[in-house]
Amino acid sequence: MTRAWYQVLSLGFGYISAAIIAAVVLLSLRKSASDRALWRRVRRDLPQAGAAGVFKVMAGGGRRIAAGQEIRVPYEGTMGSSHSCDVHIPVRRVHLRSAFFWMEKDGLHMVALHRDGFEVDDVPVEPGDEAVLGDGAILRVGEAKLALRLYKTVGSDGNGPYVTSARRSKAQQGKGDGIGAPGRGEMRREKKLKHLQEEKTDKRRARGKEAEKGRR
Amino acid sequence: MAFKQETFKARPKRTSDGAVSAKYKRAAPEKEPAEKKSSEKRFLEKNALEKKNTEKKTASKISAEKRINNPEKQKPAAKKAEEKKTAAKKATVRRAVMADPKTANRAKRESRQTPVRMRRDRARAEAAMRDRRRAVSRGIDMSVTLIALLTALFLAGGLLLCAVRVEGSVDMRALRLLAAMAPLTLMTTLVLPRFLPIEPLMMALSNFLCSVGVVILYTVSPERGVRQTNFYIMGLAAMIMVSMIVSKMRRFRGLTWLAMILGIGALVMPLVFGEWNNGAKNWVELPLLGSFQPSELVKLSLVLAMAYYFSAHRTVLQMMPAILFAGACLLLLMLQRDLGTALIYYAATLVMFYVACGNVPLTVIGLGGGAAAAMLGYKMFAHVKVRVAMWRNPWSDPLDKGYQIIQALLAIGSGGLFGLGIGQGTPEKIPAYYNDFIFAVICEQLGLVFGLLIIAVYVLLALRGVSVISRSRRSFDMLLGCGVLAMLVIQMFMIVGGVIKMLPLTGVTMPMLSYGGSSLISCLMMVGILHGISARAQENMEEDVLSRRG
Repeated sequence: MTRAWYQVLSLGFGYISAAIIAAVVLLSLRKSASDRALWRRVRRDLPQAGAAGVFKVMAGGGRRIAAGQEIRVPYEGTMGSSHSCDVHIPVRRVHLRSAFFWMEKDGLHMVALHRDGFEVDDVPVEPGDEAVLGDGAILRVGEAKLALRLYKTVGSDGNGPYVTSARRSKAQQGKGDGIGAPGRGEMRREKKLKHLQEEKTDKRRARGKEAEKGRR
Repeated sequence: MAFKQETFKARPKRTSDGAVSAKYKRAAPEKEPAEKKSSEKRFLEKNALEKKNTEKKTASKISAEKRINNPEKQKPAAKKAEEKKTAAKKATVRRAVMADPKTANRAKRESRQTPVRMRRDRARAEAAMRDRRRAVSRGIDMSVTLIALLTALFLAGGLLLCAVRVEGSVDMRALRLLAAMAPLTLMTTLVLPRFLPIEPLMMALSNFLCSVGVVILYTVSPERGVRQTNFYIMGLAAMIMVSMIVSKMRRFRGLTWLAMILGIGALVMPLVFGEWNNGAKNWVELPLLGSFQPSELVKLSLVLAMAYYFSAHRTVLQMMPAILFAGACLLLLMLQRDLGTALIYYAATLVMFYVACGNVPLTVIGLGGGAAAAMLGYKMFAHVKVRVAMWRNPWSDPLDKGYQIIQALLAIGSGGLFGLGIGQGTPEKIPAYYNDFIFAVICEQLGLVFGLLIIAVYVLLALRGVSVISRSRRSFDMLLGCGVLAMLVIQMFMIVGGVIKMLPLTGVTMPMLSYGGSSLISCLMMVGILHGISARAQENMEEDVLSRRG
């Protein structure tokens, strides 16, 4: 091929290649848009898809979150009042990042990140403790009260939801491994200590009341 | 109602003995003789009907007895059933014919209304099911097929032109390259996603970028073009392996530790065995593999370590192993004086840290630390000072230090909107025309429009990656994909910015376009990570869609 012909052809190929890459960009845009629309439709059709369950707000709702509203719970993420949290709870006294959670076969595992912790079925969960939430568990974070509804049936051995910290549940099942997990004896000791502390506080209150009466 | 109004207008007055006065007494209904007559008539009619029925019954009994006695008149059960069916059909036809046109129309209207609703509901349900099937299918649609065909067309056009470039002879090597590359791109885009965990659109886009790189490299340096094709094939194998590991593996603890140890070892190697080249000591010569740049492959280790430690443990203390590993990598890169790669590592670490914990103050502190480190690097290293000076004014030394940038800018300008054509121009005048400055060569040969659209292809690849990681269920997958995307995008913007004199030149390669085995293989491995994440997200979605009813 002569030099002149080659120049003409290569110049023409410059235009063709511009058209090719423009077509590639448009086609990939089209594909991306159609995929996005398809996912949106599937999400609308199956709102449960891609989520482990929902938290239903039972109490503590304010302006930004109404009681009865449902919050999607992904399979893993953080919970708190920050917008960056996967479960965003804009309620008073809920810390920016109160907990970190992930879904396992036995339920939704939750670890408190803030020192205030949270309560699951009236059992306080302190920072570092790992609570396992089954279907129907009631969670109290700050002023919010949330009920968990899990989409998948999780292994709660048919006795309803179990809501104890993992260490405690292990100990109750007799699986205390000695490394951070208390045995049955330790649990009893803990209970006794709690009982004694409660008694002490009751006595203090009673004394305080008597002193007030005396003053009056 | 009239009766009520009349009777309860006023309370009836009672007499002293308790009886209601005659004025307010309700009139007793008079029994009509006509009603009596009608009841008598009904009684008589009933009797007559009963008589008729008994007569009919006796007649049918007699006929049945006769039939039983006569065997000829007995019919087989099948025949009887057929007769019944035909009779029913006839009856329906008769009914349809004999029906009153007005009532028939009304009935038609009613019958239409309900099926319309039913049909609409059925159509909606079918569409929803079709959507679900499409969402969980890994099928290749028309767009991806067309992109693959366009890639093959680009390869064919470019390499055929290269084959006939020299007057009076045909370059058979270009034809052989075409015969290898075109089926490979088609197969990897259209066939592999059916059997392996590969996302079709990302595969098509990465194939297109690699094809552009091969064609451009072949036009400027045929040997490098052929070698790039070999690296591309090796990269594809590595990509498939990585995507399978990411999609199938469940526990990454062991792999993370292994990657961290190997990564540190690989970064120490150039300091021990390497030689200074262009002010940096980041290359190693190995007996079988040839020369390679370890920092390109350590990118994967860094991303893996950070994704593992940033995902499972959210407190800063628990993130420490990954932060320490990143710090060690940065230190080793500073010792190698590979500041461009160090910048990419640092930016990707910061992005992943922010995505993982959302801690704004610490991220801002990290940014400040990075700026301080850059200032320190500027003060410490002479070649950094030169690069910054040439970025500010390359014309201050146009024949020595600023020559590279000036030639790149001239090449981009001379290409115009649609370029000078494949194999035209003088790209050899740019010193690093095959790796760092390949974007300038592309703009010279194929034009500024093509160059801008190449950046658009990178952006689309990144957006596809974002959509893939947004569907992932685990934070580990999300962070892994996020790190990979950060690496690719930051590297692309750094080199394009350096070539067009928007940023100081950092000496990194353009992902998937520049010549270099380490760079191409590591880029394809990173795309493989995205493929693996996509496959895993797809599996989870399939599980959800198929197990749950809408």
